[in-house]
Amino acid sequence: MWNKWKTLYTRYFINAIEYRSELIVWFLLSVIPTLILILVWQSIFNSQGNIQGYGLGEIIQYYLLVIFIGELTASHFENWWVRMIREGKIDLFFTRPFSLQQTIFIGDLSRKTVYALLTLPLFAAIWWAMSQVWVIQPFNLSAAVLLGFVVCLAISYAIYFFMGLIIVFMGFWLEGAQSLEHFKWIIVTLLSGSFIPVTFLPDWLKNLVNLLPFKYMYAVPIGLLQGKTTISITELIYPLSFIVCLWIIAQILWRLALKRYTSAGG
Amino acid sequence: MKKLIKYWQIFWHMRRLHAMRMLEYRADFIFWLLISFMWTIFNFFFFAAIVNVTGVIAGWSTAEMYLLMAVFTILDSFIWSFFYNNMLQYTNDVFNGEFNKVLLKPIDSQFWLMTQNNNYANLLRFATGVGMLFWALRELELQPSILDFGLFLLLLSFSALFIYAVWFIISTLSFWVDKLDNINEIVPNVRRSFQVPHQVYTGIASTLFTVILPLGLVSSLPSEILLGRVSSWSTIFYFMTFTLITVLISRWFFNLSIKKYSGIAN
Repeated sequence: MWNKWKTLYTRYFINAIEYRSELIVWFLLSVIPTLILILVWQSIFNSQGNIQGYGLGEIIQYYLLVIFIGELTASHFENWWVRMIREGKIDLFFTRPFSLQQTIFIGDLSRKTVYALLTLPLFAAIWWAMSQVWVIQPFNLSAAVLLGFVVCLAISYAIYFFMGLIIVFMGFWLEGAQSLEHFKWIIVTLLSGSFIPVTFLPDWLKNLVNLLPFKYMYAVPIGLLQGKTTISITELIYPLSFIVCLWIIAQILWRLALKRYTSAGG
Repeated sequence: MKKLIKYWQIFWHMRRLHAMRMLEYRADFIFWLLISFMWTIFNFFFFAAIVNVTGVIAGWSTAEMYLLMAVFTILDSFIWSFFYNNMLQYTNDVFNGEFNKVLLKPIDSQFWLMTQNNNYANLLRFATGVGMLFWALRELELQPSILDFGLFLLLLSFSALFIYAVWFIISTLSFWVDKLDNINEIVPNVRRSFQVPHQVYTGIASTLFTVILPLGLVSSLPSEILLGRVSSWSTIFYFMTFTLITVLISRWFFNLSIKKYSGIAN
């Protein structure tokens, strides 16, 4: 079993390397809007040194961490797989020794590995350049904080992945299922703390963010590193249960889809 | 004159064709209309959340920021209605070796590339932008004169023309680079540079976004006309001249690049 997964991983890894220039362009494109946002915050902080407990350095650090978490955890596979389903090109996955879900997972993981290998040095260079211009405080790192951060990264990836998988499986029913991806991005951006620190949100949205598990994708891990949040093991039961719910929905959709799927040729 | 009428008729003929296509896929159209509207609202909300932190960004009050966002939204509706689909088709044709069909048509190739496609799903985005513009003007108790409004429309047209020319140059690079599927995502991803007041840019960023590549002026200048606080007429003159030069360069670069093209027959 392990060898099969390794083979599949290697295959997708090589495939991802082929598109290395595109991956680097994607990274740079994701950085530019954030850099502009940092300039906006700079102009806001020109008149005040500290706003609601945040200094400019912390805000910059916040957005750099948003980029970092996004690069490591965000999934973008929906478009491709929905098209494959709509065009009836997934027949071969029924005869292979691993399921479509496993293939999507391994494919995404290997692509993410290549992406991280290519972009992490660039990210480090951007962080270094920023720290030359602005004062960015170092993290208050401890083993517990680091562990909490890594667990949150895993939670973030799992939420992205299973939401993506549900969208892919909706492709069995909906013609334009890939457009559901936009709902995913809007929900995550709005409710995870990735576009603005939660403390700056209006009260009604702050309450909603605190109620839902999406905050464990960005707001909580960043808060951990910045020393503004703490997390207990029991608290993690909530986001983990949410991931299990997403997994169950994906499994139900997959079983229903198998009964529904038809294709000619293949 | 006869030629102009011919092009005018072709332009509207293509719009009719796409309107017919839209009516054929009504559900798809409504779905994308909704998504486009959601992103528009999200954009407003996004900046509202930031402006509400201190009530001012780079000297622009909340209502003034809404006016800027309205101008941006109007431009954004053009980007997604006309530019995106056409540029996508353009680069796909080049990468797939199917550009012959464009070159062989008995009309100007650049005109055809710009008019062959459009997307009506952004009508609501456009209407929201216009609605917000008038709301902001009322909120600011501003009544621009006909001359101001004429100048605003002129600058708005120049802004759209500038975005088009820059995007066209970038897309034309597809003749020179190996397959780079996300070449068309560059301009949409730098849109945030004209979503904010140009006063946000200082130092190197100011040189980059207001002089070397004046994307930062795209929404700010038309907005300043309506606000009656033009920062500098020489900046407006510079932007208009820069736009015209960029259009000429895009034309020259296209003519140079098509000489490099080779494709299989189709």
